[in-house]
Amino acid sequence: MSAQEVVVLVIGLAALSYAFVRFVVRRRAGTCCGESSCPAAKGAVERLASASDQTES
Amino acid sequence: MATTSPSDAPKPTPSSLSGSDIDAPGGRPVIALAGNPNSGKTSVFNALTGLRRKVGNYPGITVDRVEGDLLLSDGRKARLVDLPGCYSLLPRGEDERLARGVLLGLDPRLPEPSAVIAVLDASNLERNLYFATQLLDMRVPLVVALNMTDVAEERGVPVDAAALEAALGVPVVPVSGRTGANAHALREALTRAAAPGRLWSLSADGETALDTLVQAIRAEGVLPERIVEAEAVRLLFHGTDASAYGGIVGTVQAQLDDAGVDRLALEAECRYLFCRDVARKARNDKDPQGPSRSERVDRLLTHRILGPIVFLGVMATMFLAVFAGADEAMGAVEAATGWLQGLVTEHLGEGMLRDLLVDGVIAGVGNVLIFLPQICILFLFLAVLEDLGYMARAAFLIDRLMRGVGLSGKAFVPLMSSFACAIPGIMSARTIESRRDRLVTILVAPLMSCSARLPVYVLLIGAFIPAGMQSLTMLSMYLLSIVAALGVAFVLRRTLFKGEESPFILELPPYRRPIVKTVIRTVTGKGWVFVREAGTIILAISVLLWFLAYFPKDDSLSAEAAQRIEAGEDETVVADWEASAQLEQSYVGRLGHAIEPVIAPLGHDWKTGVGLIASFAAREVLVSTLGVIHSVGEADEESVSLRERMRAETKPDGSPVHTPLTSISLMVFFVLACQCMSTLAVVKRETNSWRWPIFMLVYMTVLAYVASLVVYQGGLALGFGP
Repeated sequence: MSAQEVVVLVIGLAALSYAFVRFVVRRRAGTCCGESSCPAAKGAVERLASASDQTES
Repeated sequence: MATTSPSDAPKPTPSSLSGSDIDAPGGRPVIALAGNPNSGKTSVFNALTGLRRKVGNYPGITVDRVEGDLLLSDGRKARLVDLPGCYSLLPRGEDERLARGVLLGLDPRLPEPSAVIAVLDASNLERNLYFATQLLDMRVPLVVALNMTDVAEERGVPVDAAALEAALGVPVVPVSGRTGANAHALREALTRAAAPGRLWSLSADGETALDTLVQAIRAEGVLPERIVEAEAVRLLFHGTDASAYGGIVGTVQAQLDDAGVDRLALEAECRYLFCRDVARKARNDKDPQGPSRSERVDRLLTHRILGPIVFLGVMATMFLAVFAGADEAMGAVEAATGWLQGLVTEHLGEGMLRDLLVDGVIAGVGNVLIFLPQICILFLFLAVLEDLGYMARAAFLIDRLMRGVGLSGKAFVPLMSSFACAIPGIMSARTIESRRDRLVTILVAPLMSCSARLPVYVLLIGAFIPAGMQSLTMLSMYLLSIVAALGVAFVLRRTLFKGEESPFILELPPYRRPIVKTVIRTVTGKGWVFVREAGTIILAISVLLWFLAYFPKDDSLSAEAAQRIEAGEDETVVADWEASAQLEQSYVGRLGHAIEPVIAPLGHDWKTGVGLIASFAAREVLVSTLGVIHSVGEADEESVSLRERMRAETKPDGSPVHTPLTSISLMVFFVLACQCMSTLAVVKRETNSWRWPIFMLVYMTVLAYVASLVVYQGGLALGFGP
């Protein structure tokens, strides 16, 4: 096996591991970012349902 | 109907609280901050706490309570809990349920509040007082923070805090959430918080019925005396369990119903009569004069006919800017990608690693990063429009349509959020109290055109749609997504989810000049998320896809290529032939050919088929996948423009593989298909069942396939081929 092939193999394994870990973490959390509750959802609710800062500024 | 004016009201009984009494067993006292949305509650919270905020998550509830430290006038620290803004304290939605639970001391995570600060918007006094009457009913020690007095003054109706204090029997402190002015006086006033109880009254029939219920609740002796009357009001007007309290709830409700009393209207009318009376006194008998500037502008922007026209104009301008404004920046990213590929080709010896870096990593990630300038322009427009206050007007226009198809008014928050990403949209559907409305919203939210679809549209439109039609095509895709979502909602509400829709109040914030810092933060934030995705999951998938496109190698093809070169054939032509033949027999090639019969009627070849499968990880992966496949399948490593490669691709008969018609067919498929595993996982979590994500996947895939088929075959029949 050449040096290039070894590096390619390592990169491939790293990519596979990353994709797998990411899949597991996000699946467990049930969100696309892996956090237990969705920050974008919170932001959306805060911005649209309670636009108090907007009114004040 | 007899109602009670403030002067007739029972004399407010001073609260048992004094400065030293603001106490909580076993910990710091809790002060709750309550008010309508848009009353400036968050600003008052920030002024009182100096922005030291922490967010306490309620499991299963999207709406949070926010908590901070409040320094009391005696030097002690209290916990200031910012409750979700709500228009009513009836436990209909999660936000109202949360607020009511905390105020009644029924929340297991918090001790009963020692005092409540009610933030009232002085420029909308009647409506804010309506909420205050519900707080008064609960007999919570109350202080009123009278906010936005400057806006009320601008409108020519200044509010007299002293008169309001006299009418309500609780301390009233004018504050400015924006500047923090009078925050100290508000802290001081907490020592004088009072709980006068219910000040408004009902008709004689109503009072009798209420009194009967109060006696029944009191007799059972379960609820604390403080909240008996508030509970009786809730049961009388909104109770759904007629058998409660030995059937007395049903009996008194029936008595009122038999007397021809509309119970819901009775409560609202009596409360509003009281509120109007108090507001008139507090404004020294003046009424608001004329519409504000925002209201005048809204007459045009929310007009039944002109509103949608302006909205379409704004959207068309935005998409025009996305295409016209990003050309140079895209060219620069394209050139940088090409330069990097050249550099790697030049300095790394021929071999597998070079192929991986050039055809997998750089071609995959580079072809996605090219769209960064357009993503930034799109979010720049959206951030400006949102900060300006226009997005709320757009929501108002869509809200009208939504209610027309039977969607809950509250669905507008989830659906608008879904234009960025369906996942926060689906999660914010938790604010919809009716399970039926919530499910319909969740099931149609992924149809709204999310930002992950943008690179796909931009690639295909940029490559195959004539310059003059690009903005219009993009606008059409967004309109198609809205029409599809509303159409599906219409069908669902008349088949699987029949029933009444829930009421909703949508408040339009005033217009304001966009804040540059906020806009920049939004654009850089969105841009960074895009770059991070390109550098992580798209990179990983590009590498994996390269493996699948590179292996297995067929040595006989290499031998044949060598023979042809020896025989004198052009080296470049043979190299291209070999790369293409190797790709066709690779794992990716075999997979693509396996699904080709299914997608051929839609006008797509096997390479697009592989892209469609890969895009289930994330939609923009289609672009990186096409980048890798076209790069591996061609020997020329200098040209990186995926658009050019796709344009040049031909079938064996010499006709182009991709045409304007195939690109529109593909975009329509992308608008309607549910190619996002994360969305399906979130729907499973939110509905606690696999039934709905499977239903969603099936209906969206069928819809996408059929629509794409109709577009392609219909286009061919109309002569838009080949």
